[in-house]
Amino acid sequence: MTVGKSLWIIILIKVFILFFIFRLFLMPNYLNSRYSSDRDQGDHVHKVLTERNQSNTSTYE
Amino acid sequence: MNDVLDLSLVDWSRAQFALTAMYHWFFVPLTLGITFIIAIMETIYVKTGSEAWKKATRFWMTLFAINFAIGVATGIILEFEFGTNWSNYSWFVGDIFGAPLAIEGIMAFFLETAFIAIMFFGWDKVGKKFHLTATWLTAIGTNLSALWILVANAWMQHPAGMYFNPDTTRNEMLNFWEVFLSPVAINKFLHTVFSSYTLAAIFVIGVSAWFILKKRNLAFAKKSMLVAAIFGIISSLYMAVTGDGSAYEVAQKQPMKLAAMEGLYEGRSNGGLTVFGILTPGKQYDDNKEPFVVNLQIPNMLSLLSYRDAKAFVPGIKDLTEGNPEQGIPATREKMEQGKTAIAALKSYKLSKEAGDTAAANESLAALQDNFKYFGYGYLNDPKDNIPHVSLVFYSFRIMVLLGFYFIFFFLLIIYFVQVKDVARQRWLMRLAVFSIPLAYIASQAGWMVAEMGRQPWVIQDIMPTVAAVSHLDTSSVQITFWLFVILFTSLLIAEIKIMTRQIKIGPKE
Repeated sequence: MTVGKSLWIIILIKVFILFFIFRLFLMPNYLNSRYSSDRDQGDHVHKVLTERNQSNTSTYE
Repeated sequence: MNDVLDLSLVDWSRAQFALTAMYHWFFVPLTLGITFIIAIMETIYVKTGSEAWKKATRFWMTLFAINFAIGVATGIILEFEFGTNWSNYSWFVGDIFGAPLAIEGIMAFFLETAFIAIMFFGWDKVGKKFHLTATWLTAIGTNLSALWILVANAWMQHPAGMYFNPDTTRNEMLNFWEVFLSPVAINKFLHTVFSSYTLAAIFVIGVSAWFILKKRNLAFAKKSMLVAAIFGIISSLYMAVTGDGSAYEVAQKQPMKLAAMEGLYEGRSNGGLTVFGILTPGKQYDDNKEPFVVNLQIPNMLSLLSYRDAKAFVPGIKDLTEGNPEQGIPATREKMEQGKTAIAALKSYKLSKEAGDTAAANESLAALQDNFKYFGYGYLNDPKDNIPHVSLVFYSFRIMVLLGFYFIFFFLLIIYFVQVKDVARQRWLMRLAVFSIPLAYIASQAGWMVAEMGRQPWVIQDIMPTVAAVSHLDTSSVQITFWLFVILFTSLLIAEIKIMTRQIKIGPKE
């Protein structure tokens, strides 16, 4: 097998694994897969950032 | 109700990103550098018409093709991870991270792929000069790809040119040029590409040395070695200069990283630079142990390099953690209070707006803006959380610098023996050249470890720590993808080494 043919086979297998296995089944976009609008996505991140793992003692709470 | 994370999720997500980035970076630097070496060789071929240079060009182009084909798209996994594992970060950075990556995708990627096709498949199909142009544009295109990604990375190390919009919970770009031309970005780009050129030069010299050791293709090997050594010495000298520039920027923008790089616990004026040191195992910033078992220093050099002033005070880990009022350095705990105020203000801003209380919303907004500089500190539970892994950063930095200076000396040796003596008889030097190939990769990885481990706990310096950036996924799902990536990347690496060595053994076509 020529080096060119080997490389094309590797590229095709790799692209298949990345886009058809990882992207579709294992690594979906977290926000897009849960919230349909930008507003909902923003609200989710706002909620997480203001509530995550921190004890708030400020007067602004 | 608070969103409480399992910390092992953060660690696994970090490990996964580090694994991907390190494997990705195994392929990238050779691509960045060898394209220019190929372009130089092809230029000599076009100028002289010598078939020997054409053969040399085509041989190195084949090795580049192998590296490019196997490495291409490994970076896409990093983008998947931003969306899957680091969704808060991806949203929070908004168009600041998106814009450079979009430019990279549209401009550099298309430029690169279009001309790569001509470069690989256009021999004897297009004119010599057209082909040469395609080769140079491939080299420029690959480096432009790196430029935009490094601009984005530099912004994370030193966020500039943006405004945080509390209505969308996103940062918005105010000034593109402030992001693009930030001194951190310029130094980071130049230092990274020159180090990649250095790696590629060592690769070409090492492979050429193998031919000499095997007593094969001697004329080809000597020609390749000379081009690579000249390219390498210029690159490595610029690498040293831009490395100094990068360290200077670190001192100004990320003093904790500098303190970790130097194992500096107690700040001092006339700070000495540790040339060789062994850290005391298990040393904590607040115990009374001596920081070093062995420490050979150049007096005043750390102050001089960090602040261009031999007498300047260089803050240590203790100063940055507990504060040093004499030097005007606030304690981490003060920053944590400001961070918590900023986070609370962000929360109350939204609640006030929803309730239609404009006065309260404006008050919250003012509090947020006043304290946003330390927003990320609000997620730290202890001032010690602000300290990176000192020994990892300290030793990685020393490995990188030591090897960087070794490479300069190595290139000088190669140039001397190729030009003045018969390099083919210096078998010790040829063995050293082959042995130097993995050293170049180690130095390159060590450099990234300093840059990325040294800025922990920050994803975006002072504004967002990893604990706030990570998506709330099942830890087990991150573990599964981690091990799948280990299998995928290791397979690619084995394929790369196997195909590359097979092609090297075949040698340039006669």
